[in-house]
Amino acid sequence: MPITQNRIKNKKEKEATQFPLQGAEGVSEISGSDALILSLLAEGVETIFGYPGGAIMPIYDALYNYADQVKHILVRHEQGAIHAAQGFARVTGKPGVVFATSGPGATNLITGLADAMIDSTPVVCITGQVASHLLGTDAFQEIDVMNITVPVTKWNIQVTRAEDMSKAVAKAFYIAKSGRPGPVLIDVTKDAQFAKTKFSYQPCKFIQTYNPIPKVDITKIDEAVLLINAAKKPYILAGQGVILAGATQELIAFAEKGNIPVASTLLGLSGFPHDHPLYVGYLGMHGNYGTNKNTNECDLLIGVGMRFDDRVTGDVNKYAKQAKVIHVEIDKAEINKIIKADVAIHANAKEALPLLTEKIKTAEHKEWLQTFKDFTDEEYEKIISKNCLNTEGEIKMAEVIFLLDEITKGDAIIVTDVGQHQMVASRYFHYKDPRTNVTSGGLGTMGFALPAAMGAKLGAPYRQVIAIIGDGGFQMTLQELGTISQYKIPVKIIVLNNEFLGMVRQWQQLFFEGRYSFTEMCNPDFVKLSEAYGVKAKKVIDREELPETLKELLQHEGPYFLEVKVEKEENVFPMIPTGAAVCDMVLEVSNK
Amino acid sequence: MTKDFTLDVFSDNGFNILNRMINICNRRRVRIKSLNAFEFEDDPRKGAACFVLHTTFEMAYKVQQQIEKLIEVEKTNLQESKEPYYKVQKELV
Repeated sequence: MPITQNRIKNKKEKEATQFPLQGAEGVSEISGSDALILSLLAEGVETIFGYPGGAIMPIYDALYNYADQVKHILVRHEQGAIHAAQGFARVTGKPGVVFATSGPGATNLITGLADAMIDSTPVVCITGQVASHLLGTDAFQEIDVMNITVPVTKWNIQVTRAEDMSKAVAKAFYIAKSGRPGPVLIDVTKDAQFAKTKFSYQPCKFIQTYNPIPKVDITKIDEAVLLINAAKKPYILAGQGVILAGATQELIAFAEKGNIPVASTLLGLSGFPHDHPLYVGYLGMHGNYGTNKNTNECDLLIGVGMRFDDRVTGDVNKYAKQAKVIHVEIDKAEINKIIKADVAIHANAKEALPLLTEKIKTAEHKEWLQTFKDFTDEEYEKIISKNCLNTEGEIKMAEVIFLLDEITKGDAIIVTDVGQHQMVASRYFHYKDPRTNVTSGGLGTMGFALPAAMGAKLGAPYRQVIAIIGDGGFQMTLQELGTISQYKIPVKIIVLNNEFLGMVRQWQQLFFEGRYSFTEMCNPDFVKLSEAYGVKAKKVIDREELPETLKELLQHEGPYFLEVKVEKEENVFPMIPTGAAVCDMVLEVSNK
Repeated sequence: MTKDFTLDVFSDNGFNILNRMINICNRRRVRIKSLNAFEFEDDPRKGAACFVLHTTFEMAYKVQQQIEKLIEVEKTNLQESKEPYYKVQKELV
């Protein structure tokens, strides 16, 4: 049922004495700001992350009337707002909503928009803008946000008339969450916020020029089935598209029928259960040994909901040249963009996989699967056991993740930042359920994890949400401890502190002759800092203290900050050296 | 081998759409030799843009795919330029 003015009428009558609307004359028309808030309510928005300012004040004023219907989280920086919205969206599948003002408020969203764009995260940003007669005049806090955000949004629109508000919001939500999801931005001029309009809301279900649900081409399914049935060494690479489509069960059924090993991309982690016997590991520069090596051994590569990112392919000229390629992908522009597909299935994974499963023959592939086990054994002996079961010297990052995985039994949402800790967490945490891995994959945004964890916890309040962050990334958005404290958001924060920008340092050590050019950090007392924000905090240096402290962290009712002092110059292995092929992955690299 | 390609784009006539198309070419460092954009006389809500791109076929195809997925774009048509754009311009003059 469309929301009508009756709702605001009743509300205004009820609360007229408490919240008199500025300029309101009766209820026959409402302001553009009210229309915006009602439109958001009609879309089922319950949480908004934002930061007010001059050009968005009428919207914030309208929001004041609806404080009992929508929760607004006042962040400490607009970048925190959009990362929080991303975290919220990634765990719920619903668009995260952000409010920011014009000028610097809008430009502070850019990193998050770019992050959401490349990682296909549905976010709806609403920015205030100067009045329309001031557009293009360099007025105070005026910036051309429409043009600035062109490359980092799926769609954007400037609303200059109140009567266009509800249509713009409806379209924005439809675009953000349909097809390959992405961020959209609505820029609202101040005069449109104040102006009066009649209001009604109709959700958008169709845009003539936009086709988010491609029809599966059955001839392509048949062509793919022929390749799959003929393959001796088929190999599934599962990306985030599986999670976004909610196609985990369909992928399991497909893999099980064909006995096809499944590897995951970084963003695809949690899309296929890690305790499944056909799960062979994680792809990429610091992924698992066998998953990368066997990419150049398989005879059929089946990419599902993934885009052959350069971190997955390494040198594309030496990538899976021996194999036929089937690419199942909802975004047509991703097909043949990096790797040429022999059979391209332009479809949602949830629709395409059952069609494939129905038609493929059951198979064994015992020898092929054994090769993955052999590689895993080698990796376990040379890398995993040494890192995770270490008992000497300083604590290693892998030990912390291994222990955390053991204690939580994989039942947690893990939010990681960017760098060594991210790779270690991705390697050693065993994700059980979809939407439990939240990380900045494509853009690699340091500072992502703390606000994203905050948003994830608000999106999934009954799940344990653990942010794993490096000391560098933590200091990029640590002001959000203030938000966590104010709203008592019970996220668990683990900072793995090596007093270095660890990944850059590792590369400097391995590929730049050990010239540590500006990567060592002199850090503050993180425990005191957290306590200053009112967040319970602890630091662990001794290995013996770690298990009990992790349990304490998980059991604590409120937010908890744990700093773990880890080995200063630990390297993450295995790795694909930069510019090398996936088959050139090494278990160690000698220091040049 | 680089050649001239004509890419015709039919779309909604929004404020940002032309910018989005150009942005895709710029990101890919594809040279725009000529661009003619106009709104339809019978329906100003619709418009078209005709690009002459100088690049490889593979790149022109990828640019076409990325432009085609823009929300406001209805359809695109890519073909090797039969007539160099400057000849067309000369005729117009």
